Amino acid sequence: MKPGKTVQVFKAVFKLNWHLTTRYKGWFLFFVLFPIIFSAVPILLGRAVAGDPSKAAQSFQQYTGTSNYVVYMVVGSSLWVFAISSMWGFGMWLREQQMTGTLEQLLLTPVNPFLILLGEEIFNLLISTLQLSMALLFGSWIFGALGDLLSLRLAYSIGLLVLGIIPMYGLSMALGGLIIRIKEAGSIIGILQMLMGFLMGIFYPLTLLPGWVRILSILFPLTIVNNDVRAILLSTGFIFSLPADVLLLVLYMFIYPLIGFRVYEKVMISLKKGEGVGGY
Amino acid sequence: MIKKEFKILTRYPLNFIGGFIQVFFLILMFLYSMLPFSAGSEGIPGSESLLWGSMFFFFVSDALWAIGTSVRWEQVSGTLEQLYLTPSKQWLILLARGLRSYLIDLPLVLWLLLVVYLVTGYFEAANPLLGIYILVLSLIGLTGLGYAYAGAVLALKRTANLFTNMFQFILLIFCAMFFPFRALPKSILTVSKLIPISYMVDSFRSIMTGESPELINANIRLIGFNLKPLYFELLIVHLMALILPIAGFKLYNWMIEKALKEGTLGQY
Repeated sequence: MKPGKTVQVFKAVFKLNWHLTTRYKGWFLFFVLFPIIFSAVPILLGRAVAGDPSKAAQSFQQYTGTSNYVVYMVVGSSLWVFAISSMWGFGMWLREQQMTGTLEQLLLTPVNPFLILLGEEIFNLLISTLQLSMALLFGSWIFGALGDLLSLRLAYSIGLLVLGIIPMYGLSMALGGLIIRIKEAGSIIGILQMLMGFLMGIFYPLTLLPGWVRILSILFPLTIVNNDVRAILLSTGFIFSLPADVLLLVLYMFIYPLIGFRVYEKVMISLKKGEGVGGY
Repeated sequence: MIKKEFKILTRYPLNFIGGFIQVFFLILMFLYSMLPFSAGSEGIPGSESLLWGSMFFFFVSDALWAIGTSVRWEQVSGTLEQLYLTPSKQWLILLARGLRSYLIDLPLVLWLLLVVYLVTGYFEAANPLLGIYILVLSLIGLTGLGYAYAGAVLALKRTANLFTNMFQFILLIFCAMFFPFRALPKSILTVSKLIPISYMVDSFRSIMTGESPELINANIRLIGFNLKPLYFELLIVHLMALILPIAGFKLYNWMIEKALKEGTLGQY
């Protein structure tokens, strides 16, 4: 397809999604505020367990290497919500198209369907990234830790996030295929969201988890991103070391998109042979 | 109505089983989050707050979603007007949904208690019978909240789902369902004391752990009686079990009458 046509496809996808996003501004704000509210629970729980905020900081430092449990929790919670909205955004979009009956129409257009999917992924990524940034800034400000967040180290940690995004979207393609295959995927999504939060160690260091669970959690790209962003910002420990963790993420950048695309393609072929992609 | 709701539930058993798995990982997340703060302590201090407060999150969610927002589901599926044309009492339909949710959440709550016990080794129920009595009173009060919310949902329309999501998590914080009230800053605690659900959570937790309540610290003098903090909180819970259902039911009926007059009952 000519580059001009590709841009046209992206523009159309972006325009449609922009209309939807601005029509339901409340949901945009929800994904900014939810990680902040959710991170308040372990912050307040921690203060209650330790007795007061200063004891909480001391105790937390012994376990994690940092006394800044507020930024620790806000980063974890925000990245978890980023992971959820990025991963499920694509799958739920596919499901919505199935249910509204427009998936078949989209696949029948002269446009390469891959471009439409890519456009959806990119828009979803931009919105999720904006929500993540706002959640981090607003959350840190509310808890009085904005100064700790805004440092040069934040720029380095953004680089890590970029590395983690590509494998994550590869995973989202596989999950998208799973969603349109299983159809009633609400409970699966709920389970995987909680499982992700647990494996990512959004509120605690991975060293607290049993060895075999840690191996499972490292297979998920955002576990590495979450851990290493905190390592850079707060001087806690990396999974292995920064170069090794980056290498692992680069490896995932190749593996997960391949797996994701393969799963998605297989599901679509199976649906086209069977009940059709429009059946829900 | 309960039979119909259970039929829907049994049609999607994965949703029911999924709830247990979600609760398992959610509780694990919060329990593990407490570990870095418990250096030098035995076990996980604060487990009692999580154990005896977190179940209120399920019941509050039931009141908001199963009773309150269910009106919207009926609007969207186009069956609300049909329901109102039947000879059935409409408030019974909402009540049936609430009862169904409470019954379904009962095994989830028991599962929650088991998970906390298995992970922390902590289980204490100082006054289980009185605790169950307070829980039942709280559920009656929450049902009233559900009715009031159902009325509000008719006005909120499309924003109802979003508002419900935010509202339940705001209540989670302000009513200290997962942590003790002493963890809250004073400014938030002031607001907590104005919310009836806070007293349900605090009195229930106090009864089950045998500890003093946190919201009221001193005896309260009321109509010549010198009430201890726990008794005063129990009085509030009893009053809410009476006031909330009546007020909630009246608000719900008023909103329905308004929607019928405006012809907007089926509009969502």
